Formats: sequence, structure tokens, C-alpha cells
Amino acid sequence: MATIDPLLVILFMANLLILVLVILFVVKSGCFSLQNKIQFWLIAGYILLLLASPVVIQMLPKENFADERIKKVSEKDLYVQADLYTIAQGASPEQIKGVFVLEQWEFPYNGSMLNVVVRPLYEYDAVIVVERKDSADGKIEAVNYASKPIVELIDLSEIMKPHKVALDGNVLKVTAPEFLQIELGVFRNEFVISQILGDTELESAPWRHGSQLIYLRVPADVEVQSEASVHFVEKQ
Amino acid sequence: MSLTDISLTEPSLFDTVKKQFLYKLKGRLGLFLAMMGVQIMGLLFSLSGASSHGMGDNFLYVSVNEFSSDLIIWFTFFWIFVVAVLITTKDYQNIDFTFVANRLSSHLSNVGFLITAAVIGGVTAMLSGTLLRIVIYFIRGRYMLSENFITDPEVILTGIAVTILYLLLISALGYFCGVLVQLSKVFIVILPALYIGTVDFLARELPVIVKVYNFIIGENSLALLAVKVLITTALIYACSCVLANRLEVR
Repeated sequence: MATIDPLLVILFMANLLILVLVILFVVKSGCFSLQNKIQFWLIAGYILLLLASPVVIQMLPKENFADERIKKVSEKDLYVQADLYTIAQGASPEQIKGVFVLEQWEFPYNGSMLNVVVRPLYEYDAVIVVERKDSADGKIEAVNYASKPIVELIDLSEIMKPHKVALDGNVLKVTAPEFLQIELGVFRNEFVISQILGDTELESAPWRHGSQLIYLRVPADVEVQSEASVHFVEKQ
Repeated sequence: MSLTDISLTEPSLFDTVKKQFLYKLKGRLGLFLAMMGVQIMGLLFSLSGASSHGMGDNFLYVSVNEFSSDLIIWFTFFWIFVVAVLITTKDYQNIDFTFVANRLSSHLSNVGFLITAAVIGGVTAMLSGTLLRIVIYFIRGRYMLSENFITDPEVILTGIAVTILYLLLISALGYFCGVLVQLSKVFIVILPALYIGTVDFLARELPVIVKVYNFIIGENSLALLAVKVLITTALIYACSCVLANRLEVR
């Protein structure tokens, strides 16, 4: 059995004391000495509200729930190999299961030197892969590949924010995606229920990180330089 | 009917208990108002969630916040304990002597009142969980998961039954503590000290505490839990009556 932290006991006792004081205050206090009828109707109203709540809860639209709105995946999808970093080692993105295109751009470009900058440089470790095309077609293609983040079997890829890629002169600026913080909410059964019916813990399916990568296809006659780490791969 | 007849008619124990019980129920509505207050307070505290866990990377941080109405149930437990202690105090006992009453009828009506309070408390505490779900649905809506949101009626009924059983047990304990304090004010000091001591011993795995814990909290069968709680509650009330009879007869 775990040792109880004395601080927790003190906090617990303090809460208990506050609660006792609240009860005594409500019972004894002059401001609550309402006439019996008003007291009765207040309590009756409260009980009626509570009795109505199981009916009201059934009427709430179910499509608002995150797991109804956002696509659910099966447990086997969790184990689909989606290692984006194999792309940086030369694997073709199209051949990796679970990788999808989050966003793509195309820029006309006639220069011979392209400077790739990443912002913010020191706080963010972007993975940029560059592939030189066979022809000098005067187009830079940028693809933001991503793997699915999966939490509680919910595929959160739809709410994933892509990088921003912009070309200004001979500078291709890659900006980190807007940081997204999502707080999902779930209900746990009360301890009085779990005692008899067992624990209804959250689905124990593991969570999976999603990751992103920027894949650049540059014309054959364009040289690429960057202050950030860039991986060059051969055309697949 | 002559005046002599009236004065000689002695009401039965059942009639007296019934009258006292109804009178107490009407006169102590404020106690139920207090229940409403603590449950709403519990509901408000529960809005922030019971626990949270998350994961993240450079782009996304996802956390799952778990909600539960456990706190409302705990608050209701505290409420009934305080109520049980409160009705043993002189202020509340004086109501009994508005009627032709004896100690037994007074105890029985108090027990009846506490059983009613436990039933009302049990039903409202569990249903507050449903109300909490509705409130959170409107506050958090978009990112709520449907798991455990709508509870099956049999699950709610199980919850209500278990909560009522705990409330019965706690009210009996509260009543017993109240009677002890009426016997001697020394118990005002001894009982909290005993409680804190027990919590401390619990950490040290005192076998008696572990056995009591397993006897009630470790019981997974509703029927067995009901039998255990009802027998224990009856025994505690019986002890309270015996002890209370030692009090000076008014």
C-alpha cells in the first residue's frame, strides 16, 4: 500500500473543515432561513433538474463528439510503419504506408542558386529533403509529408497544421507549423460504479506521434544551400 | 369522546415515530438545501477535470483530461456525516419532545430521517454526474469523447445503490460519533485524533484497517456489499441506541 503524503492529509482535512463549515453555514445562517415553502421548492426544483438530466443527455447531438467528427482508426493502423525519416535516407514517400501529403506548393524559378531558410532556426529541427529533378523545368515543388498522430484511436491528421513555405527571390523560407494544443475530454465512471462493474479505463491503445517532413524537388540546374540541415536524395 | 378518553389514549410507537419522522423531515429541509449546496460545489470543482495525461512534439500537444463526478459523491458523504452528527445535538433533539416521545421513538425517527437522507443523497449524487456531463458537453463540446458519456440505466442504478449503501454506513458512523460526543465532550478531541491516527496507520498497512478496507471497499458483489453494509449499519445504530440510553433522561 502506498504511503500517504502528510501534506495530502492536511489538505484533505482542510477541505473537510471547509465543507463542514459550508454545511453548518447553510443550515444555521440567517440568510438561508427561507420559509419552508421556498426551501421545499428549491430542493424539489433541484431534484427535478437532476431527474430530467438523463433524458436531456440523450437528446444532445452526438455528432459534436470529437470521436464522431474526427475519423477513427482501427488498432492495426497504429502499427502501420510510417517512419518519415526513411525518406531522408532515400526511401520514396509514396512507398511508405501511413504517410500522406499535408500540403503542397509549386513555385516558378529561374535562378541557379536556392537558399533554403528555416524559421525559427534554433528552436525547431525541421527535416528537409531535397531531390534534384532530371530536367531544368523551372519549377520548385515543395511537399509537406506527414504521418498520422493517433490518440485514443482518433486520427488527428485533419487538425494537423502544415508548414508554411514561401519563395522570395532566391530564398525559400520554410516556417514551422503553428503549434497546436488539443485537450480532449473523457468521462471516467464513478468509483462506486467501478467497485461493482470493474474499471472502465480509457482504451489502452497506444498513442502515436505524428511527424512532418518537407520534400523539395528542384530543377536539375539549381544548386541548393542552407544554414539548416538538408538531406539530399537521388530521384527514386 | 370525552376528555378523559383523549388523555388516556396512548399513541403507538409506530404512530409516534411516523409523526416525529414527518415533523423532522419538514423541519430539517435546510439540511437538504445544504446537500444541494455541497453537490453544486462538487460539480463546480469537477469542471476542471480529475486527472490529465498527454503527449506532444514540435507541432502538436494532445492531452486527455478525465472527468468524473467522484468529488460530488465524496462531498455528499461528508454532508451526510455532518448531518448525522448534527441531529444528535441538543438543538435538534429538542424537536422530539414536542411530541409524547421516548428515546426509542426519537432514535427510530432519526434513523428514518437518515435513511431518507441517504436515499435522496444517493440518487442526487449519482444524477449530478449526469448533470456534470451535460455542463461539460456545453463548455468543452468540440473536444469531448463519447466514451462513458451516456451511462446505461443499469450502470446508473448500480451507482445509486452503492452510493446509498455508503451513505447509510457513513450516516450510521456519524450518528454514533454524535452520540459519543453527547456522552462526553472529550470525544470532540478523541474522534478526530483517532481518525487522523487511522489515516496514518493506514499508510503503515495496519492489518485491521486493511481488513476493514477489503470487507467493504474491496467487495465486488452488490448483493454481498448490501448485506455487509446493512448488517454493519444496523449494528452501529444498535450500539448508538444503547450508548444514548446512558444519557440523562430529559
